[in-house]
Amino acid sequence: MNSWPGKLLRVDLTRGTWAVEDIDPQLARDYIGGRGLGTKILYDEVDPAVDPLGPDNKLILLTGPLTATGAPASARYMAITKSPLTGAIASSNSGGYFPAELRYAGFNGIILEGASDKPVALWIKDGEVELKPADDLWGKTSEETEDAIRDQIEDDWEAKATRIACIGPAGENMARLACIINDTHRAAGRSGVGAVMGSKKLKAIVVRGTQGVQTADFPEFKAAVKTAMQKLASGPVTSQGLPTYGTAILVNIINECGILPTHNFQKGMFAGASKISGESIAENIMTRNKGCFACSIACARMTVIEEGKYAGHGEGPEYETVELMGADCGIDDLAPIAKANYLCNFYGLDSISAACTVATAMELYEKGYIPREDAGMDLSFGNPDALVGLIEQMGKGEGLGKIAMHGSWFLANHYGHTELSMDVKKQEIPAYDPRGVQGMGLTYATSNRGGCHVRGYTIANEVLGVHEKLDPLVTEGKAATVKVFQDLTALVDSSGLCLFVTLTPGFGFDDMQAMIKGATGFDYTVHEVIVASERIWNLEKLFNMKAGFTRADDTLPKRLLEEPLTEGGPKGQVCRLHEMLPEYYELRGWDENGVPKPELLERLGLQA
Amino acid sequence: MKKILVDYKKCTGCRQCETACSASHFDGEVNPEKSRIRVYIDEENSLFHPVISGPFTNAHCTSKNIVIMDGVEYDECVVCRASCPGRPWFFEPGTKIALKCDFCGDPPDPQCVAICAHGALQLIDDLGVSRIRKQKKKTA
Amino acid sequence: MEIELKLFMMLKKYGPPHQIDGRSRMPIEPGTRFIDVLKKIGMPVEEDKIIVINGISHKQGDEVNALELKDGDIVAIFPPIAGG
Repeated sequence: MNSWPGKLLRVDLTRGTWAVEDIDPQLARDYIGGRGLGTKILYDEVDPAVDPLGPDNKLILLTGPLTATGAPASARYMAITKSPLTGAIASSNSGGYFPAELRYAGFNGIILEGASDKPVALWIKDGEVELKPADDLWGKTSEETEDAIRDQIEDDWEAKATRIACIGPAGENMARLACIINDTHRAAGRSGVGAVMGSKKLKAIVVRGTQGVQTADFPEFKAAVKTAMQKLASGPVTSQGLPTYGTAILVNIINECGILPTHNFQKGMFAGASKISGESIAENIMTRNKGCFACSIACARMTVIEEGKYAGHGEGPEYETVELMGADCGIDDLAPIAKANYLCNFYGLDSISAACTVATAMELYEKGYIPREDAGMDLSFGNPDALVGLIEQMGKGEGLGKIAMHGSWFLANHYGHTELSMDVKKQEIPAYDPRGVQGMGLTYATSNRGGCHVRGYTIANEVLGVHEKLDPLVTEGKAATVKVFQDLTALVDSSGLCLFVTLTPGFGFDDMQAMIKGATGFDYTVHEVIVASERIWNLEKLFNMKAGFTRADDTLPKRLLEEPLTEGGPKGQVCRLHEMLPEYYELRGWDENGVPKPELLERLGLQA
Repeated sequence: MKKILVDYKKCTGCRQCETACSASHFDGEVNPEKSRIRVYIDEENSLFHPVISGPFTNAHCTSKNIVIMDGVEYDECVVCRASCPGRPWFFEPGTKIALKCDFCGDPPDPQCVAICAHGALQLIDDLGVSRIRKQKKKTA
Repeated sequence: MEIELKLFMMLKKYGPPHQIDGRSRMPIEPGTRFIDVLKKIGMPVEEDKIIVINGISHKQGDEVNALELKDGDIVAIFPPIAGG
């Protein structure tokens, strides 16, 4: 039976060998698991200056102590590596059934190192490991890959119970926007983790487990889970909003607040917003909602486009995707958006970054920077065929997609106009315009993995008032809010839970501590888990500093700092990052250049 | 007598019932393979169907019926509650002992029902199928 | 004088019966406060909600309840939601 900290599988793809290792209990205690422990392993084993797509980079897939335990939303794993998109640390999160199955198969994580010269697939069944040739899978989409692998399993019921994580053609082509797809529709999406898997010629990881997971103190754990589940059940967001309307529930309110990125962040309101909203998805294309493993929220949407040229079925689109493929590309029709989202999942592209890149391409095209002959199609804002067409090209690595598949910065740089790429550290910014919600600007600018909303989701307080309602347009106090959100997120990501548990009023560090303590048997105090979350954040920062990042990288696209929004509530606003950043550094215990001070590193046990 | 009413249309496929069942019967071990309730998942047809273990049969079925749910035809195996040699559900891994739902708790308080957040599982008094249908109609 | 009222999701039930998209225009007297609008449409004042007036989100409570509305104001009310 599996327990925490348990075992890691280390696979050397160059030699085709593997070994099983015990996770050091002290490291497990100090870094919790998942994102934290993965960061520690990466930091210790990989030179931050390494070529992300070379054999010396490692790809670390880690569950957390709560994954598969039956704690609410305990479905997650993290993929940690050096990002080929940003050059900074990458840590992408995904749910579904695959992460739990990995723990039931006896492993709490996998370290992938070296690189194979031929396509391979990693098969794991109850502690037994095999690397099989995967030439026949190479070139297949995620869906085709899953089908082909299941066809190789004799027993139909076993095939059904087997869980698969794989890359699509985008990962094989080492597109910097490539993700790792598991359970066909779930993605460890961001920062190009799929390209790293592709560089190692690892097509798929096939997992089947019948061993259980044992928590250290079950009565204590069960009591903590019960408390947390009651909070989730009484929280209106986790018990009603998300199950009924999914994440796209946000489209209307974000539009109402004037911060819905439109036409590549040229505007903050979109006339067609209600057509692409969560309500519209529920009414028009959703067949039913779905939960990841042990999740009571069930925010996923199973959707179908019945007919027409965009026909297809799958899951999503989620809020970020529907917003960026919709408003940001000027498209108000769900059918092409759903289709483009399905294509992202099939080809293994990060739908957030891919959508942003299409928006950038559209602005480049409209301004005449992408010549018609390069575009090969009418890339004007609002053209649904351009969205679907360019995503398809990016997935296949053809035409303009050959450049665009590396992201908005690479595309804009190719045409000499990086100012039109809406990115932080070369990673595309998600679907909240920080000019009208100041804290998000700081979240984006200071995120250790570049443009990202789930490193400090202050929208919860600045707009939605989940825990307490803050004024989105003031900068005062936002540094402290951002820091707390960043730290809590680091803890949740390390635990194996989904970040959405934090959208429950009153859910905080103490709930996390109680569950983690019961699951691990480490006698964590609330203080200790808070320090651990800070430790994780700072170690990511140290990795990035060694990779060459400086204060100059903690910034936003010029447009968001200098061009005011022109309509709605935040009319006339820019993001006043300079008012928040120094205070943030100080609260973090960093000097004015954003370098952690020696006394902080000593307190966190991170001194060199 | 109590029964567990399954409303498959409310199931989201999260399988938290599987975790709760195994943990309560195996001293905290969370292991879907040891659960007496399993969720049949057919993503293609958007079907999640919780199946609760019933009797043990020595042999495969010889006369399987076709079950129609939401207009889609399924093999009866999908909803069958029996442990049988033809299907790996409800056998404890290793020992291969057939597991059976025991309405755990006294008075019955099945852990699968207690944890289901979407009301797909309900503990009801056994009124007979026809009366359940009538009751549902009234409340609808 | 009138305001534009936008009600979302399950809150549409507080709007006029014929409106489908939750949007309606509501005539108001000078001096009408936000709380008066709530009372007029029959929404409990304490009910959890997110309030966006003219594109600015407000904290639920006395301050916004006492806010005096002007001609042409856009008042949007959402149930508690989050996601992303």
